Amino acid sequence: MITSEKLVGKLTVFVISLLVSVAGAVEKPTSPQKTCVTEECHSDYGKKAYVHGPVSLGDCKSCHKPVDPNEHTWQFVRKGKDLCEYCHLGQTTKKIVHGPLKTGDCLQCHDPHSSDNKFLLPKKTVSAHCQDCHQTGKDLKFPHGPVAVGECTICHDSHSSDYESLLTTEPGELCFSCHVVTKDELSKFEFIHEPAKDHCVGCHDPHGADNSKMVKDVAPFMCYKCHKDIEKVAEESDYQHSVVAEVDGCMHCHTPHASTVKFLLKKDATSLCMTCHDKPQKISNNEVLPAFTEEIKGKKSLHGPVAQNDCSGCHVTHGSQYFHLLAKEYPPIFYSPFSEKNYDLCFGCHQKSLVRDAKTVDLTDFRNGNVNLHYLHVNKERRGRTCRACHETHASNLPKHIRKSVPYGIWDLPVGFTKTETGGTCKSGCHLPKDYDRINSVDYSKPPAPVASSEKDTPKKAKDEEKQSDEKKV
Amino acid sequence: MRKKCDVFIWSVFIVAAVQFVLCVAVANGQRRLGIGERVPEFAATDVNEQVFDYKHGGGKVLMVVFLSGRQKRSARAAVDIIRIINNLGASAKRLDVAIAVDDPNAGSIFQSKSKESATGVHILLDTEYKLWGKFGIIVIPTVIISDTNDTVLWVKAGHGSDFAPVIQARLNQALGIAQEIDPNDAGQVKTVQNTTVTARIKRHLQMAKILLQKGRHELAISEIKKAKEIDPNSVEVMLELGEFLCVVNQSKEALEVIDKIKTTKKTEKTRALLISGWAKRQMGELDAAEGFLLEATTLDSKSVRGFFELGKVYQAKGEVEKAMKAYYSALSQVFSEKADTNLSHQ
Repeated sequence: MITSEKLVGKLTVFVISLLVSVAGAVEKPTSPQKTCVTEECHSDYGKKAYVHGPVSLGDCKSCHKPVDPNEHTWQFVRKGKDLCEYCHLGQTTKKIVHGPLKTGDCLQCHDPHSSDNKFLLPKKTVSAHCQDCHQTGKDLKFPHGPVAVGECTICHDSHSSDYESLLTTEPGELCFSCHVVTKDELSKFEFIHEPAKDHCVGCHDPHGADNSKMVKDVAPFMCYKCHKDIEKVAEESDYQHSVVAEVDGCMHCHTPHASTVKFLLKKDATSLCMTCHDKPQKISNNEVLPAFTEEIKGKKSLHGPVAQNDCSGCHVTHGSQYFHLLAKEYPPIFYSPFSEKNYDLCFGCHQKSLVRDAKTVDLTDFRNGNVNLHYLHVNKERRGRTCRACHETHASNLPKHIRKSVPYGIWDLPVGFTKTETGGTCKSGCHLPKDYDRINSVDYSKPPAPVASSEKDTPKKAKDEEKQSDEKKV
Repeated sequence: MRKKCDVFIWSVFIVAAVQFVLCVAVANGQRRLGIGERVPEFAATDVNEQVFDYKHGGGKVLMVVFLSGRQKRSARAAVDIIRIINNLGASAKRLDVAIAVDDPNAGSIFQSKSKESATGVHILLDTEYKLWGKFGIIVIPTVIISDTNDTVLWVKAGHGSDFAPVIQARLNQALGIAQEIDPNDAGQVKTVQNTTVTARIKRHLQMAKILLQKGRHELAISEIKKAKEIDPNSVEVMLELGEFLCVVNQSKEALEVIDKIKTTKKTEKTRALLISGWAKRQMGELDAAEGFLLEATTLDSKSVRGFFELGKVYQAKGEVEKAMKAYYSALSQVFSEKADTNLSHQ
């Protein structure tokens, strides 16, 4: 229950408070004043770091006019955006106008009287203010420089622009206004990635990303967005190049901006391949590829594509339907009957006439007079020899990368090839020693000279071995 | 006399040796044509049934290209070759191009491509591989380039990634076109390196300049400081920082930055003097400022800021006439007019 003394005390406090508050309040003027920014009224407007021009001059009537001075009511001197545009000309003249400006809501971004921030912005950085409406660039691991420093206006015009997204200049040129070195470098290259010419945002998020270099996604997924054909090959081929599917795998071989060579390669093909194939590579549970560098180390005769640093002469890089990522058909087993189809790979560069024409003086040096010895070797009803029966695929120490030996059961039979000025000799395990000569052809029409008894069995033995060798697989 | 005789005998010997090697190559039936050998004379009918007759002594560069209509790499090589020829411009007139194909269908394919070329390209039908034999070809594509003395300058087989740059460089070499790259290095791959220290520094400096234009002085300076972190020894960065500090009236800090620089180039020294003068003027040390600025404008008579600051120094000293002359020099530079007065020589 409230006692009468307590009630009196409370009323006293209330009355005193009321008197104090009335004594402290300033009477609103009831007639037009010279300025509104005085020590008594609206004093805050003039005390901040940046003051709107009319406010600093005390010229409130530039924007406000009295409706009823007695009531201290006011209205703007002009309606909508005209109020600001009367002085701030040309802010909306460009093709694309910022939303608030279209509706004349300049006060959404600017304090009309004063602010502690430049351009009378309500917040310390431009981006802090922009984020009220635009959530781009927030909490990104790798923000773009201008976003990181909160200066959206480096790239965007805050009022109006002739370019999409209110960009300050032509989108293709904008990035190069800071990335001058990249622009300068790109001008020196012939092979430039299409987006790098004028569409950086094709790969990079201009605000930032959670991926390094602000890329929108990591390779290969980023790359697959345009390179659908590669995606198909890489993912659907019978034989896939494992590196392609790795995160950032594409970047092992390709550079994203420009290169002096096609396909935007980072290095010459051999150097690229040797970043992995300089050591044995396990390609399945049953197969380990030997180190390529060991295969060619110190070898005197390299296959053309190897000599020309062109692994892609025979191999495709992303995926293939042929084993060892070969570009075309090539028998995976050593002893296979010869057919042109089986050796499509070889005939991609070498003419089929090499094995089709029985006689030639133009197609090959491997001839006896004009008898084409390639033709002779492969075109047999049975046991025709194949390309790989005589030639190593990558390198050997014999001329024309001829094999040192051929596998035969548990043995390696030496090929015994020697070259002469005008021909050569083959003392292989496949047949009797035979010479050939381009100028003075060796006559094989006569029966062979008698041989010592130990050698008499050789032809039969060789035939038997040939028969067995057809079945051998490597 | 004896010396001349020796030279003559050696010359004869060398020529004889070369001839011997070439003769041996022909006599032993080897087909392969090597670099430094003479390109064989030949005649062949093109797809329009016109005879292309190549004879020695024509003084033109010859490029013989062996392609096949059945090979994708040949098609890509043809596109490269046409592009390269077009890049040669007027020099292409000193070049004969013969594309040898082994089937008539291929002839028409390559003929349509060659129409894009600025120079005459002869598509020769070599269905019996006579040209193959003459040039010792074993694979397609193969390109043989001769110099103007009918000697083989380069043989390029296959269509590796270095095909275009190597062919371009060798053709330039054969035609005597100046090029930045050594033809022997043309196959080396180079890529855009936008993550180099220089590139990263430039990015920060550019952004700093834009921020400065926008009046974001603190941010601009912080960008330059980021560049400085990347390379604390970069003179360019330190000079930029010094200049920016002057812009925001932090003259003492500007002088501290400049004191740490060891300039080696004239342009660097000039900028350092300008910044020192600018900072000293802000600090009210007018005589010292005048000295620095006079030296700076002597080294760079087009320094707008140098003359402007000098004008301010004279204005502060009450030397109105000198101040006006200095301002006039600055304005003359801005409007690209020749100044009547060169204060640096006064």
